[in-house]
Amino acid sequence: MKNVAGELLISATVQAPKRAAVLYRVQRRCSRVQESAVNCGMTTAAPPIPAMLLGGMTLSGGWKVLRMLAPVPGSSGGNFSVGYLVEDPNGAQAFLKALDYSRALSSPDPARLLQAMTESYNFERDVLQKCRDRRMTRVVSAIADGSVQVATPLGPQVVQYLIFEKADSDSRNFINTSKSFDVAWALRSLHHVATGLRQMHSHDMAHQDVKPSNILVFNNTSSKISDVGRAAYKGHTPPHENFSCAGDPTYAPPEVLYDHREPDWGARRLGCDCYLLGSMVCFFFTGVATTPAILSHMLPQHHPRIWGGDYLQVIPFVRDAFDKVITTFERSLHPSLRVVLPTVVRQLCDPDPKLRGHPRDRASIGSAYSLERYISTFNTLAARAEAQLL
Amino acid sequence: MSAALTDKERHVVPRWRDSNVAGALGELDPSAERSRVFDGTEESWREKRDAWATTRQLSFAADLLGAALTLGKFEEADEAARYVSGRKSDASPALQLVAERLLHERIGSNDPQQPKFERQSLSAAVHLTRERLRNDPRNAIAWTDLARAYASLGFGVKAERAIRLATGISRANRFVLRSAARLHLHLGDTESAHRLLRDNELVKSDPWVVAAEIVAADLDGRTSRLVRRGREFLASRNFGPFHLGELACAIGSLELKSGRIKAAKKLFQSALIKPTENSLAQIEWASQRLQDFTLFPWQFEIPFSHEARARYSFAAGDWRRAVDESIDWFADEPFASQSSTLGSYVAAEHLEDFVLSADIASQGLIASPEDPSLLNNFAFALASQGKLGEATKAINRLDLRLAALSTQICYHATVGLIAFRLGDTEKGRASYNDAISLAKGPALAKLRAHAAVNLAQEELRIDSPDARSAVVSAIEHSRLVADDDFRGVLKRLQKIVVSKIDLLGDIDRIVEDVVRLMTTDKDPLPTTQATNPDRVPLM
Repeated sequence: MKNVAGELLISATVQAPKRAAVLYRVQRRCSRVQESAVNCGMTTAAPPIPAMLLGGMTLSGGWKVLRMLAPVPGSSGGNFSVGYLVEDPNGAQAFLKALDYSRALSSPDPARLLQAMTESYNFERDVLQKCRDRRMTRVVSAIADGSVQVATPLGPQVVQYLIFEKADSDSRNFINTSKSFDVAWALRSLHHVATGLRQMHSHDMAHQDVKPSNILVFNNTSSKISDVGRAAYKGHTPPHENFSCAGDPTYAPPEVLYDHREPDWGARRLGCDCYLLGSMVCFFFTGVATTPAILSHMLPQHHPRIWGGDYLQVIPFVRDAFDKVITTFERSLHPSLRVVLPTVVRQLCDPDPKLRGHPRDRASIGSAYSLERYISTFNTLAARAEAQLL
Repeated sequence: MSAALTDKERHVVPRWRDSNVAGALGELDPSAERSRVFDGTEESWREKRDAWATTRQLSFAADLLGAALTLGKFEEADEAARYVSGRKSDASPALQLVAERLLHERIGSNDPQQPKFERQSLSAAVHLTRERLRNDPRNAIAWTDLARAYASLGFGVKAERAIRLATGISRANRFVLRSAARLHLHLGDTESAHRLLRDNELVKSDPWVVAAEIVAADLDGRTSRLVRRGREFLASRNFGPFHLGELACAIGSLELKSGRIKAAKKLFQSALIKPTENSLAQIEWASQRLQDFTLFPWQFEIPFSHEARARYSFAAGDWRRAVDESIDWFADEPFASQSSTLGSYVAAEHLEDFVLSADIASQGLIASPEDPSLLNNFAFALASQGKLGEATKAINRLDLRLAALSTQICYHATVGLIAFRLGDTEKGRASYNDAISLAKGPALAKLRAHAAVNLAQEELRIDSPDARSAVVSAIEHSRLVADDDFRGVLKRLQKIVVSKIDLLGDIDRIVEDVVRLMTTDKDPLPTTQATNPDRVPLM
C-alpha cells in the first residue's frame, strides 16, 4: 500500500520550474485513466473508477474533498490509490488516499488480489493507528480513516480512505546536485529519520521501507518517514511476510535480495531498518543508496538476480564491495565529515545483519540495534552544520 | 646445469589469483545460477522512470540508476546513465560509478588485464590491503588477497596467518576455500589442504571444491571419498561445462594414473568443451603422455592460459615463446615456482640468455627462497655469466635434503661448472662425474647425458687434453636421448666442437655423430619453427 502524502497540488499558481511537473501529472493522470480503462476492457468512455469520484464530497469528521491530486515527480504513491487534497472544518489542509480496488478486477485472480489489498489496507491502518496512539512525531501518521459510498453507473460502491498530514515534497527534491547540496538540511533530515525509526523500534515496530521518496519534508526543514505499509511488528505476521522483498529492492539490504532470512526478529527487521538508515546517509551525500553502490562494485555474476548459492557464500564478495563503497563515500565527503559518517554507514550497513548497529550496543543485551547513538551523532553534526561550524 | 621442470605428474591444483582477475575469468561465478524476480517492482520502476523523464534532475536520475542496477534494467536506464556520465562536475564519484557500470556492463568490456610481476606493486598491494583491513577486519576477500601477496613476497608465515583469518571469517566461499587450500599446497602442507576441503560443506554442492578435494587427496597420498560424487556431478545436468572442467580433469588425471587411458581421454575431451586455463594446462600436460590426443593451437586462445602455452611451446621446441609464456605464467602466479623453473631453464639451456635466466630465477626465489631447482638454475646462470662469487653463494644455499634426485644431479653439475670456471678442474671433473654416476637408469639418462655434454663443454673451453674423450663420452651418453629439449643441448655441443678443430684434430666423425644424434629422430633440429608436425607454434 503506497502513501502519496508528498504529492503537491495541481495549482494554477504553479511556478515556472514546476511546469514540467504539471505536465508530468497531466500525462500521468491521462495514462492512468486510459490504463484502467484498458484493464477493464473498456474504451476511454468507460465509467471512472470509484476512487476517482470523491471530488466535492464531505466525509465523516467534516473533511471536505477539495480536488484530486496527481503524483508529483518522485512521489512513489498511487500504485493502488488516488490522492486528494482535503480540508477539515477548521480549514487545515491534509492529504487523502483513496483505495483503488478497480485494478484488482483486471487481475487474473481478482478475488485473491482484492483480499490481499484489503489485508494490506487493514494492516497499514492498524500500524498507522499504533503510530498515532504512541505519538510518533517523526512518522507520518493518519489523521483519520474511514469509508464512503459513491454512486457509480454500476451502482453504489464503497471507497476506503486514509487521511494524512500534507507534506511539501519528498527528500529527492532536496538533493538535486552535489553543488547545491545543503549539508545542514541533510544531517537534520537524517536526525529526524533516525528519530522516527527509533520511535517505531521502541514499540517493537520496524519500518522496512525507508527510501528517499518515503522521507517527506514539511516546511522545507522537518522530515518524517512515511508509508508504513511494509512495516512489521513483533508477534504479528504482516501480509507481506512471504514477499521476496517487502520494501523497494533498490534500497533493500543485500540479505533480503539474496533471500536470506535471519531467524531472529531483531536481526531481520531492526537490522533492515538500520541498513536503510545508513543507506539514506549514502544517498543524501552521494546520490546513490548503499545497495546499488555495492552492486556497482560487484561482479555481474554475483548479482542477486542470478546468484544461485546462498547468502553465506556470497557475503565475502558483498563485504569486499561494501568496503569499496565506503572508500568512495569517504572521498565524496567534506573533510569535516570524513571520520564520522563513513563509520556510521559502516556500522549501520554491515552486510551481516547480525553485526549492524553500534559495537557497544551489540555488546549489551537487548539494545543491539539501538539508534540512540546515531540520533545523537546526527543531531550534533546537524547543529554544527546549521551554525556553519563544519 | 639448469634443472628442468620435471613434473612427472601434474595436478589440477586450484589457481590462486587476485580476486579481481579470478572474477574476470569467471572463476568466481556461481556454479548454479537462477533467475530471481522481486515482487511488485514494476510500479515502482515505472514511477522512477516517469519521474526522471519529466524532471531531468540528477537526483531522479540517481534514483532510476539505482533501481536499474538492482533490477537489471540496464538498457532502460541508458539515457539517465549517459546524462549522469556527462555531468562529472555535479554527480558524485559513487553516482558516476553506477552510471559507468550500467553503460560498461552492457558493452561487456571487462576483460582482465594481464598482471605484471613487480615486487614494488606487490608491496604496495600489501600496504593498501592492510589499510582496508584496518577499517574492516572482516573482509575475507581482502585477507585472501593479502595472503596471496604475502606468499608471492615469500612471507609464508604471514600468508598462513592471513588465510587462517580469511577461512575463519568465511568458510562457505569457494574463492576463500580454494585459495586457502592452494596456499597449504604451496607450503607443502598437503594434509591441511585436504582436511580443509574435505570437511567443508561446499563439497556437497560445488564441483570446483570437489575437484580441489580430489587433487589435494591425491597429493596427500590418499584416495578421495568424493570421486563418486564428482562423477555424479559430471553426469548431472545441474552445472555448466565451465564449472565441471577442473573436476573432469581431476578425475581424468586419476584415470590416467591408473592406466585407464580410454576413460581419461573421455574426461579430458569433456573438459575441453569450455575449459578453464588450468584445465587446459592439465590437458596439455596429459596430451604429451597420451597417444592420439593433441591440442590444436586455437584451443590455447583462452585468456591467461600461459602455462598451457608454455608447456606446448616447450614441447614444440618454440623456446622463445616458451620463455615468454613462462614469464606471463609467473606474473599470474608469482608465488609458484614451476613457471620460473621452466623459464630459467629454457632461457639458459636453449636461448643461452643467462642474464634473463638469472633474472627469472631470482624473481621466483622471492616467493620460494629455498627451492632447490631455482637456486641451482640461478647459480648456473650466474656462473655462466662469470659471476662466480654470487653463483657460489647461491649454490651453497641449496639444501640437498630438500632436493629431488634430478635436482641433486643438476646441483653436482653446477658445482662442477663453478669449479671449472674458478680454475679448479679436478673438483670440476669430480663434481660432473658425481652427477653422471648419480644419474643411473633409463629414467635419468637424459640428465646423465646432459651432465656429460656440459663436462665436455668445459673440457673444450679450457683446451683440456681430456676434451676429446669427454666429447666422445658425451656422445655415447647421448645416444639414448634425443628429444627436442636435448637436441638443443647437443646443438650447443656441436657449435663448440666445430670451434675447437685444432684441439680435437680429426673431428669429422665426432661432428657426424653429433649431427646424427640430432637427426636420428624424425623431428628436425629445434628452432623457432615447429619440430613436431602436431605442434605448430602458437600464434
